[in-house]
Amino acid sequence: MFAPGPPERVAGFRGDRELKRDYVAAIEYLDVHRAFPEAGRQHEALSGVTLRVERGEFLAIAGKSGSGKTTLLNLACGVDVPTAGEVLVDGRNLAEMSDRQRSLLRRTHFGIVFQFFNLMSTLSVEENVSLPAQLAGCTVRESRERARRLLSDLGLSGRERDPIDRLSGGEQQRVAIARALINNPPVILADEPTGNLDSESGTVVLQCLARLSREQGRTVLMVTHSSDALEFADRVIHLRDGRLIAGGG
Amino acid sequence: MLLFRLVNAKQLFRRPAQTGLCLLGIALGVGVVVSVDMANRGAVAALRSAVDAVAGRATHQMTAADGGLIADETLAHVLAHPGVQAAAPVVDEFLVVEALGNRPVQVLGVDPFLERPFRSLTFSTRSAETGRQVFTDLLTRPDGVVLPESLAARHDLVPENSLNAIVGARRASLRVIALYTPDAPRSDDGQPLIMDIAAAQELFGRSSGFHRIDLIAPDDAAASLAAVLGSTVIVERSDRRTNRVEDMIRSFRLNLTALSLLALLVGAFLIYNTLTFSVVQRRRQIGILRSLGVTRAQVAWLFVLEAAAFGVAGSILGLGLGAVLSHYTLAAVGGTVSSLFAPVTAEDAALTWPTVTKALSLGLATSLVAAAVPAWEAARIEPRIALGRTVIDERLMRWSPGFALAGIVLLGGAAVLVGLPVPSLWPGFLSAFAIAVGFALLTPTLALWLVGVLSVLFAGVAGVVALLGVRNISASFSRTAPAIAALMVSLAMVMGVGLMVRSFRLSLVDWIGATIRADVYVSPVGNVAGRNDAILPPEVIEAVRRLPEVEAVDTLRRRSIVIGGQRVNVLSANFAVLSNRARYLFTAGSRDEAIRRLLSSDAVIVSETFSRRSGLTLGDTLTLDTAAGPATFEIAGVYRDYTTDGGVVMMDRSAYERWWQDTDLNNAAAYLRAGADAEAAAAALRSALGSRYQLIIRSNAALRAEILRVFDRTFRVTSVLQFLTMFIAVVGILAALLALLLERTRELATLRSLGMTMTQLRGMLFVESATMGIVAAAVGTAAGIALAYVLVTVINVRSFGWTIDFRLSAAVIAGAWILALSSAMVATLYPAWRLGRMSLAAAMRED
Repeated sequence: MFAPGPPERVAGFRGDRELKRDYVAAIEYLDVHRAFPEAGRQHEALSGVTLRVERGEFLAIAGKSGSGKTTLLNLACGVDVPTAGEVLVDGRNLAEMSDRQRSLLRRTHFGIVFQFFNLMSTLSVEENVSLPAQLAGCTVRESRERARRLLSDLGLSGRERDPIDRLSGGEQQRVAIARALINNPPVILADEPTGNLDSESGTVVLQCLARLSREQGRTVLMVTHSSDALEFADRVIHLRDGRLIAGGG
Repeated sequence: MLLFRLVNAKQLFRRPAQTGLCLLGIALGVGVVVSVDMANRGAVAALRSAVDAVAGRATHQMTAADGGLIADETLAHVLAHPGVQAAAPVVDEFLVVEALGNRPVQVLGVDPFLERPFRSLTFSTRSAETGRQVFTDLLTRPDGVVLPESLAARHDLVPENSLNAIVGARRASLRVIALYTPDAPRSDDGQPLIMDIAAAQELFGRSSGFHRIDLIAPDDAAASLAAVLGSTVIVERSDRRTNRVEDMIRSFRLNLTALSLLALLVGAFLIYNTLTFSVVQRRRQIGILRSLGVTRAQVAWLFVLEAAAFGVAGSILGLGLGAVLSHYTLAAVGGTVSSLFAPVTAEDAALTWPTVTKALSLGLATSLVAAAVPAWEAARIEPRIALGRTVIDERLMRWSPGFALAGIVLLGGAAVLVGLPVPSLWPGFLSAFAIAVGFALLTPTLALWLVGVLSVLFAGVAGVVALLGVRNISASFSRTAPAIAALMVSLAMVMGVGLMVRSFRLSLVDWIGATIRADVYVSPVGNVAGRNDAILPPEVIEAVRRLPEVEAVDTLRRRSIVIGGQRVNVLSANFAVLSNRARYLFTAGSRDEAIRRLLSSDAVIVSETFSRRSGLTLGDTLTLDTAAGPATFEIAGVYRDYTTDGGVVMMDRSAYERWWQDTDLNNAAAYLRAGADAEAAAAALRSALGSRYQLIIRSNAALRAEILRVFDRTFRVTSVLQFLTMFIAVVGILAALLALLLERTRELATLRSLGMTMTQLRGMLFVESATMGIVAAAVGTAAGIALAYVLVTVINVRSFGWTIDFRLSAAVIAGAWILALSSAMVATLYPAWRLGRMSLAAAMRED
């Protein structure tokens, strides 16, 4: 299902695929500002960003380092909250949720893939993948069965009991994708998912993400500064100094 | 210095919690040592003060060899002896004065004419009377007594006040005729009340005789005097007497010092942890400095300097802390000294330069030793290689087997030391330290193994949150292993001392059960602190015998004599009464045979402390200086006795009276007929005798409870030390957890971003901490049992000469486990609270 192959054109903003424009967007940023204290004054990481992310869309967020890409991603899943403006997920305002509600939302609604994989070194491959399922209250047995299926889909059969440090970078990122999918979330957030991989492994990971959107209808938000990665997305937005300069809407 | 400022100083202020906890660890460790040192000095000072105040300026003191009185006519020989510059007889007694807090007070009966060279006293009186008038009053008023001014001030007493006193079993009325200020002011409790010698003899019911004669004489004159007077008296230098008092509590002080050093050892783990954390935090900086040409030695020095700074600052704080703590430890130590040796109310000791030097040296040395490995790690950092926590963790895991091997070697050494057949305490202490350090070295390996076992258990049952908590321990091993080791050592101490105290208490209960068999005990109120002077009037004993429910009465006479330079109690009892009642626990010889010999011949039984000190045992003979001259007794048995560590020789009353011509009695013990109520009998005696005599009348149960109360008071000081050491260990875990939070910020943020709620995250932290507690308790149990074995079978025996049956107590072990887990949990509270304040977005950016 996720076997490596050449990049594939997908329908949408760059191709022919028509995305369903629901009344309620998967994620919606409304005049979002985010400022951080820096050297004694407030530094605006995001300034008035308004952006609508449709269900099933594969959206790439591009921009230079420090342009606010990761902040945008963090705001989507409630890891961070805006200084001003609103972030709506399925029409629900994250600012109105408690910390616990945001945790539960991350657990069920989002799968997150990090640049440095952020796998737990103390857990085996299978345990890492099953972690979010168990956090969501799934039994140990069921979560492991789900983890095995996903690992098999991602070409990691037989590696279930391996410690993380025995896997290559590409394999670790596929484990991270499996972990992101274990709770069957409708939205995948990927922060520089290929940033720490060689090009071949990076391609495999990008194909995985593209298919999650194309074949399974999941919304994918990917932060990247790799021009090759942009090829896989339905739409690309560009950020510069915290402002949306292209692709918004 | 610039390098130190660059690398170290800023870091110390950047992580104030880590710096503060490390300083607190050292300060507490040093503080415990300082407080024990000050408490020891306070107790010694109180004892020494009491002895010195009594001795005055005497160069020598003469006492009766049989522990009794020196005959009046001896004084004339002494005064006439060539070379003796001055001599003064002294009656040395205790009485209980109501207005002085109803506690025993020493009274010296002196001859005002002869006493002047021995002490110059400044008198103050109510009127403008002079010293001469006081002198006259002393001679003419048989109830006149002179009080030390500070003692009188403390109890609001002035001249002409009357005092109600209890002398032995009788009441007496005294009058304050003046107050005195001693020429060398000392502790209030060291200052005796002073009376005329004849008045004192009268008051204490003696027609003649002195307890001692003070001398001012050169050594050779004193020696020739002793030779002339023969074996009936002992002449010894005054300073030897003082030294002997110090000798009495030397073992006790050593034990406390050893326990306090264990607290410092626990503090050392904290320093190690803090410095390792420092090295990891500054690895990039060090790498840059190395690439700029800073040598390995310079890097190592930076951390040695940091450790030294910690050591000095922590020690200074520890000095202050110790001074405060000493107030409490001194109260506990004073209680123990009073229970075991002599009644003292020790006053707070001041910080002295030797204590300051000792504290600074110990704090500094401990810090430097603890810094050795982190400094070496820092020096190994290559310019281009960043030494991560993982590298250190992996290295520690690799080294664990080596540590374990070293630990096993140390434990083997401890076993050898325990078996050394020497009387010294040092092999015992070294063995205890080898056990503490040996198990600490074994801890990493055992911790890894136990974490592995728990992982397997948790993986199948408890789910991934618990699993993460358990596995985090091995993932951050260089941080968790020292914290576990610190907690383990503290628990080993708590358990070791706890098991020793428990074993001792159970042995004491057994001994009480075998020895305290009578139903009602009667003794005079004035029978205090090993004094044998308070006599039970014959009519009291007769009243006891006449009680209808009494079946038999045993009476006890106690006499203090010197054997081989050591003071020993000679006890005499009615073995005809005891033969089928008391069940003395014999360690050599059979009970029945011993009693048969006691009743039929001049035989004695001796306490095991006496046997151990004198080297005499069953079948040996013992020569005692009796009133009829030296007499030889056969030792018919050695029995267990916890009443004194000074040694006891026991014989039947008939033999005693025959050899000492002494019919006085100190105590009576009544055995009631079957079914009689002991409390009712005691009450009946109180109502019959209470108005005429000052007696302590106790039922068997009350006496047993009193003995156990004294026992518990004796060991209160160990509880104080146990608490402080556990507190240091809790600080250690807290510091480790805080450091882990800092190091794992990103990992924790990842978990949060995966949907872990704050409750689950805190749960993980609690599992981690609880696992550390479980591992520490598991290893600590083994170490604690080993430590208890050494304490019971080596240190206690060599310190006090008492045999204690080593007993494992489930309650003590369970208590230590609960303590371990609750300490670990308490240490988690603050880090768990800190977790709630973590900014997820910022944490995700952390490296």
